[in-house]
Amino acid sequence: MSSIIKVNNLYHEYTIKNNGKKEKKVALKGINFEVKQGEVFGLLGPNGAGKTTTIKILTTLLIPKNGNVTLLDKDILKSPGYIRKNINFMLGGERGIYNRLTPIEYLKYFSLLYKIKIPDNKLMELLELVGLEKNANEETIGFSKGMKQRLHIARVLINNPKIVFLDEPTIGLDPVISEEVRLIISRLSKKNITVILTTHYMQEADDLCDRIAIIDEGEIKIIGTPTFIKSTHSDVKFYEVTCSNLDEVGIFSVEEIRNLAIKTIEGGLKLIRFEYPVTSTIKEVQKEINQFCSIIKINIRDVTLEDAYIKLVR
Amino acid sequence: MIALRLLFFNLIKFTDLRNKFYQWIIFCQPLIFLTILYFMLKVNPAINIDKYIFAVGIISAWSFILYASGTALISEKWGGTFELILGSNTSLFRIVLTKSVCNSLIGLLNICLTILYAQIIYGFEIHTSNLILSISSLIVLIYSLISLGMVLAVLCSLFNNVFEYQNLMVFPFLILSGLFIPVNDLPLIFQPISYVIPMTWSIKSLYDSLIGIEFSYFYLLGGILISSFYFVLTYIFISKIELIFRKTNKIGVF
Repeated sequence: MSSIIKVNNLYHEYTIKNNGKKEKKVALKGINFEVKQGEVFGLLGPNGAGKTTTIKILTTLLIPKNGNVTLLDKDILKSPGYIRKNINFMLGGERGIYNRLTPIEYLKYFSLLYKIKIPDNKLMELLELVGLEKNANEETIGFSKGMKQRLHIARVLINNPKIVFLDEPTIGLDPVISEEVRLIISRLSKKNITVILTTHYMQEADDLCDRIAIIDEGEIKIIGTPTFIKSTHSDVKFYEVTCSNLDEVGIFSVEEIRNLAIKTIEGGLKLIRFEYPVTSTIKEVQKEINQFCSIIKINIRDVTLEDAYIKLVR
Repeated sequence: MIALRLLFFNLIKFTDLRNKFYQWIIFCQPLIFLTILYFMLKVNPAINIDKYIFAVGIISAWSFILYASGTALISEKWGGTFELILGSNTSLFRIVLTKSVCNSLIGLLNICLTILYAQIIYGFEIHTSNLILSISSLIVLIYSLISLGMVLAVLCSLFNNVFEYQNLMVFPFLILSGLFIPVNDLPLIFQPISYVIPMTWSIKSLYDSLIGIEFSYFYLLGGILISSFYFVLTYIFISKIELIFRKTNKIGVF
């Protein structure tokens, strides 16, 4: 599969004002990555890591200070018009909607801006895809956050894009609506549309993305499939133990136990979470822990993307 | 064709006639000024009523354009749609032009409504010494208002407290453009400023055609030329400002 996005040595800095003095803040420190056609590619990272800056550069909204970016084999600086015709984007949140328009009018307006004539039944199909067909002729002013997000997704598809950029598409949505939005995104990838997704929800990224780049302080820390990223941190296993009579001082002294967290739960019991080297069996861990408490229940789980992410950006 | 459909869409869907402020400007404000005019005529029957009826219409048209075109871009920033339209396939210049044409057409409607009010409610009879020249002057006036609306849209997008500046601009612009007092009667220091305002030329031309004094095409052509200059200036300014927005990540920031 050919690369539809190529990012080479992308560097960007901003000038910010700090106590009246102008300062330079480096947002991207020369990042490199490629995205293949039809891939769902996740960009993860803490706030201010450089995700939105990357998205803005790739969508031609921001001119980078340095580096080369090609989308669909065209340079973003030389052919922004061609790129805009073939991509679309949504920026997270409920802004970006004209409250006085109905969804069908909103889509019509953007079809005019993209210079394409779309019949009403096609627009209705887009609204059906995002589950807004029943609200097609209602003013968006009364729409919930979730409905607005879904309308944004319909808008993103108005120009039949080859690449879509979704910046935190499920931010602030309830779990049910988030799941619906995720379903829509997975449908896009089945249509061979390349999706670039930024999110703070690790489970979402794990479920949706074919590959992920974790970005922090303007640098890509790791890039690969979710399985690969998790495997790079599989030197430990995660334990969750419910116990009583816990010797807190004692348990903290065990060298192998890492990232220990203790929480008091119902009935004066304690819930302890920790990491333990993968080389030890559960029986060995149980024996070790038993010296400091009476175990009621012990659970073990594999490394999640969130575990790997926290380790990478901490 | 797409441009016309975009204009039509703007006219039908984005002209917010439910906005109380715009309702006031379009429908009520002419009534107030026409009432003042009615009593002025009672006091002094010698005044040229035709000229002042148009002046009332132009006040409403200018007020609408100043606020509607002036907030055309900043409201996109406020609503978070600025980035979306900039990322689309239509140039910012064309988007601003469409909005400005749309607002100027509403301005023309203001003038027509004022004439209707004047004739139907106040029983004023309107005369023109040369109908063709008056219509031509009116067309140039609309052309001037489109160009000025574009400048306003771009300039006002640079300020957060845009309404404060707009309030300051309403009447000085009208005075400077010779709507109430001929530009030649203004203090010398202001006269060059007056002639930089594109509507000054078309207002002079319109008044001359109404009053019937010797008509000079100089003002009509001057209005076209200076308005065209503003179009070019706006095009350059929009290109520059778009580049600055794209370089500094100030798109959508307000």
